[in-house]
Amino acid sequence: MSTYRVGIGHNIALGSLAIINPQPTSRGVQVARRTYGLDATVVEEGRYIELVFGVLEQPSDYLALLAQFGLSASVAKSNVTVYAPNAVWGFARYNGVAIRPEVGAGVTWENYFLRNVVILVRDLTPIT
Amino acid sequence: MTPRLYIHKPKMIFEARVDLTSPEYPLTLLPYKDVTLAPSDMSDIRPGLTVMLGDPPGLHGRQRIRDFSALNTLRVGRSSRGTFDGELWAIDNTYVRVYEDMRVWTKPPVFVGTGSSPTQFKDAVIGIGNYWQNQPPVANAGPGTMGTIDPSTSRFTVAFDGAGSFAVADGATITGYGWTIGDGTLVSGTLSTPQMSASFPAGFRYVSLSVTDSNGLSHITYVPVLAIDPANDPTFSEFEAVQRLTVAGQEVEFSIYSDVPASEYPDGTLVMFASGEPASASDRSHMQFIGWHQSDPTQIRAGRVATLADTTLRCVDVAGRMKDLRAYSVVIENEAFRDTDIDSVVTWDYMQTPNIDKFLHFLLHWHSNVLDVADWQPSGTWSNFPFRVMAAEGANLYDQVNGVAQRMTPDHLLTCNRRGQLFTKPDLMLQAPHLRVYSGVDLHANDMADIRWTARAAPTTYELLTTGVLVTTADEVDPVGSIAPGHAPGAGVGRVEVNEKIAQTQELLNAVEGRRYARLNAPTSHFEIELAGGDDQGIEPADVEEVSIELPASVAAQRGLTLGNELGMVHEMTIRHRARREAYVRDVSFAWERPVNAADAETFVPPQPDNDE
Repeated sequence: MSTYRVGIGHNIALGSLAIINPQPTSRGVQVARRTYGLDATVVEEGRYIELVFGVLEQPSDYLALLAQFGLSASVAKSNVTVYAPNAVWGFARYNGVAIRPEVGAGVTWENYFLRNVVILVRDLTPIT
Repeated sequence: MTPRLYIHKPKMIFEARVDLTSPEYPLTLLPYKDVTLAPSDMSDIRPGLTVMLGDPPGLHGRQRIRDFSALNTLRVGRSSRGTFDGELWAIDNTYVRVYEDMRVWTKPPVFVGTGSSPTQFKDAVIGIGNYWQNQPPVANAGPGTMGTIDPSTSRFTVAFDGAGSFAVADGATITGYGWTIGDGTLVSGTLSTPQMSASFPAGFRYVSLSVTDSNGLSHITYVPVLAIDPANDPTFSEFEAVQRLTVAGQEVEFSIYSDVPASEYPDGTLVMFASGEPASASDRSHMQFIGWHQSDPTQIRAGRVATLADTTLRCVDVAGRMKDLRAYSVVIENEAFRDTDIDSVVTWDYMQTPNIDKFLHFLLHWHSNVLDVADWQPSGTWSNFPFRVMAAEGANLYDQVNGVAQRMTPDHLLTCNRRGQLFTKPDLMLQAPHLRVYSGVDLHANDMADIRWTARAAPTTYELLTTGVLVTTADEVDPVGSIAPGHAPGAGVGRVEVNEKIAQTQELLNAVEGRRYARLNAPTSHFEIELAGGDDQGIEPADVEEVSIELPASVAAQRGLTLGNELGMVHEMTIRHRARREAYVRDVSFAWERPVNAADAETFVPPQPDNDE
């Protein structure tokens, strides 16, 4: 299995993408909406991926993680290039927009650690 | 493609105090004093700009600048005393401010004098002069646009095309074009050619086109142009919208998640909505709406964790604004038959060789400033629909103009597309099939996510009776009529009468009314269709063009019908723009009228009153 990578900005070459540290888990690239034509034609809109980080020990770890995506306390969204699993679980590069997690929904402090940190990267378009 | 919403913050170009201790209403002149802001050239306070009285601006009314200012006096649209749009409450020493802002206004006619024949003036002061012979031309400059500046030049380049302008008077032609581009720089063409392109720095301005015809008459129209600097972007992207597009124009409701204070974004201001960027300097397909803020449905919700107030702006296009303008009753007669014993001089009630297109122009030009802020194309029938005498009324200006257009055979409709351009187009389903225009849109099972309709076996209308006249340039008019389904009524429960039609031949009237009758008794309702994937397929109801739908047997309902590429008419479309957490998505649905086969109506001779003279 390949590693998740990220770079700040769009259309960054694979060799210039940094390995995300720590590595997340995810359900892969999903779609915001899937509709069907009358003949069962599949129409998918709004590709996104949720990168899930189980536990971060300290707020400084959280800030360092956000910084890998160009996010911070004052920056809530950032253009990124991500290397993530595609619809058939092969890894591919995508341009997207990383969104800072919502406190309480995308990141919580429980039992001394930051848990269940979810960085959403949306508006994914494959880089050919 | 990222949607963007621009709400115009009009720039104040003039500020002074009202100098009027005893105003007499209606008001057409507004003297001022104590000027604190004025343009270096007072002719920059040009006709069409918005004047607001009071503080905050507009507290004591809003009106349009009617003409260039005189010494220490603004010439304003005729205003009664009040505080709404089109009204002014001129209190001495209150603020009077003029803004770089163009809106849609009525132009009330004025009657001066007593007796049975008072003298009429259009827009408060304009006498008939030669206008009964020579009508002003129409300047059409194309729709407004918005886009991002080129990072290498810091400019936004726009191509303009005024070739859609036209002369109205008999035999007249357009002889001159004059563009004004404000802070723009010419890129190609000249300021006196029909087409030109210009580049603009970041910011908003109106570009204007003045056309002159061979009679020396002119008309000027204004086009909004917004150049966006991403580093200082004046547009909103955090909003949701519901667009309701019909043949008769568009209404949009914007729910905005940022502050939109009234002090910066005044009531009634210009609104533009675009999806992405133009594909080229001449492209306007990205523009989704150009219109004006109309009302604010407001809700303040007290919740457990916060009290949230929504900012919702309901906006309409130029056709929607016309529905708020009064329709002034008008009768137009062919001047060739003026009885000089009764009317010794020509008045506004007369026109040389009147026809429907000229009458539509008359209503739009003399009773509103609609043509100053939007393109309009007439039906193009001109001398094919002359009349001897015609009256026009309506609940509002849109209904009045649309009502006159519908008198043609086949009916014509005043349409407004999503770029705010007005057209006069034949009602698709009343046209002969071989004359209908095909949009090029083919919808198949893979394009549609949901389709609903109701089939019915019983007809609704048992008789359609139509009366009117044949077109003529003579003094005598020939009444005509048609009756469908013939002199043996059908099996429906209702009866419909259509009056005041004007037709070129009896045969044509019979054919059109036969189609109208078949339409009234259509065996299916309109089809409500939801498109898959939020793609509107380029459908524009205001184009009044055929859209093809195929519903094969493989997806037809058990008792359902199949459609084999049938060419029908789109009546209305709803597009919902939703900002979900994971993506921006659109829901697109529309109503489609299926074509029906029709037999011609039969000739009906309307009974005539005895005429001893």
